[in-house]
Amino acid sequence: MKGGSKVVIEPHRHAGIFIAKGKEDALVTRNMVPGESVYGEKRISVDDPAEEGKKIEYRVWNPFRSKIAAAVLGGVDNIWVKPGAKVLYLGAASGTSVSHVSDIVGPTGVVYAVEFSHRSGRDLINMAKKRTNVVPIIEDARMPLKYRMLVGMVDVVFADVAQPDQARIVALNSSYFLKTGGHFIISIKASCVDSTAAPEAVFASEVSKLKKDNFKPQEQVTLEPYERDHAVVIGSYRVAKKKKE
Amino acid sequence: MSSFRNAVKRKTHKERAQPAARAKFGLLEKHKDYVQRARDFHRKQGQLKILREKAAFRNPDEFYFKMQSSSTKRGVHQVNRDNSLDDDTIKLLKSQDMNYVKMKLQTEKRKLDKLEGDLHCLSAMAAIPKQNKHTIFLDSDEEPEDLDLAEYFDTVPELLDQSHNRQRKDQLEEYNEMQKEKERRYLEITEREKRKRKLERAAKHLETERLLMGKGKKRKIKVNF
Ligand SMILES: C[S@@+](CC[C@H](N)C(=O)[O-])C[C@H]1O[C@@H](n2cnc3c(N)ncnc32)[C@H](O)[C@@H]1O
Repeated sequence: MKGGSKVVIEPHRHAGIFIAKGKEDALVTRNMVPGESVYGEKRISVDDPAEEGKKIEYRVWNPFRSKIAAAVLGGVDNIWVKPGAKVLYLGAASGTSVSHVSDIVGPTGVVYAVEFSHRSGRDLINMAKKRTNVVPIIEDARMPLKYRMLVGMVDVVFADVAQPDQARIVALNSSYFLKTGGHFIISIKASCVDSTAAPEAVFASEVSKLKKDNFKPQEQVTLEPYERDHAVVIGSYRVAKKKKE
Repeated sequence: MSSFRNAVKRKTHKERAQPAARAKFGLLEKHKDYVQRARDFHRKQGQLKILREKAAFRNPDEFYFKMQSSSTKRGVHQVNRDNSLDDDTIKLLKSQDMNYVKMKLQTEKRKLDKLEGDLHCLSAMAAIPKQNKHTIFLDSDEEPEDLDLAEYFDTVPELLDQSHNRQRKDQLEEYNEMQKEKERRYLEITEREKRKRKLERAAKHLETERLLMGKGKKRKIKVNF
């Protein structure tokens, strides 16, 4: 790739995520399958500082197409998805975001990607063929029992199913697969839950629903300027009410 | 010259406002307003004059071919439509126009998406006001006032505004350590340079002594204290 040497890669606050500066100005993840783009995104290769003559390839992560990327740029404290983590990803669609999550968790982590639409599922499966840490599951996330044999205990549940009963779907899946003290990340699209109420009110009501289900929300960011009336809520699961000081 | 003239403070003439007693006559026109009004008036007069002249010098035999296909309707100019195409053909052509425009729109959108895909304006984002909202949920016994944001995010206060990448303290430390290491190595270079020079001097001295002890006539050329 031409001009590759002009790019500077800066580590991001969150492990496994980087920022490329140079001709681009972009959020990137380290490509687990060098030489392959998943959805036509740009790849950037730079010299490996550790090994002479070797290259490291990064893939640009577009915050306009991925809620997690938008939340990361929005400045969340912790995304919990990190190298080695096991992630249950509900609403994987064609796997564009999933591929970046797979980059972050790396070969020692796993992403279980659940999607019920067969059309998107096809792309998801194709993507998973190249990425050994992605387990594609074409099932309805409302019926976790159907895929309980495929999924182990996970550290993080991410949900972006864009359904009015998302909170319930997440609670159900978490009760089966999320370890005690694990974390959840939920993307809420206000218009999907209640198109008449004010977005702020929708977010607040979703948060209170989550609180009832043993979730402890820690932070919430809205996704402007990348998405309108979207918020991402992050928190922990089944932690003791009182913190030990 | 003019700059000198500008440097001298000139008397400022103030125009008075409408006295209270005459307020019923409305606002008092200022010279600035008068100039505007007069210019507008004269412009309109000029245009009227041009039109009157044109009408006076009208050539009754003037002819253009376009006149054959157009007419006036109660003094308003009308263009006769070209009727050689029937409605269906026109409909078809219009839909083709639309398809072309739509296709162009698609390509434009795709190109824009691609550009936006790898230009996230990250550095610019820190400079403009935040558009999103970040909420932190606290335990019921914690007070928002007690929350130290820099401590919460485990970063330095300077990075709080840089929401796209608030690096953690240990990451920054790593960076600082690298910086220190670099400085240390630069220092080492200067130290070693100094030592090298000293050693070279000593070597030269020893060489002279060795030569002095050799055969031949000796002569003092310089005394070194
Ligand atoms: C907003 S899209 C997710 C986009 C994806 N997270 C990304 O950033 O690339 C929501 C997806 O959730 C899927 N979905 C909706 N309801 C579902 C359910 N009950 N079970 C599994 N997937 C579901 C939809 O088919 C859709 O593809």
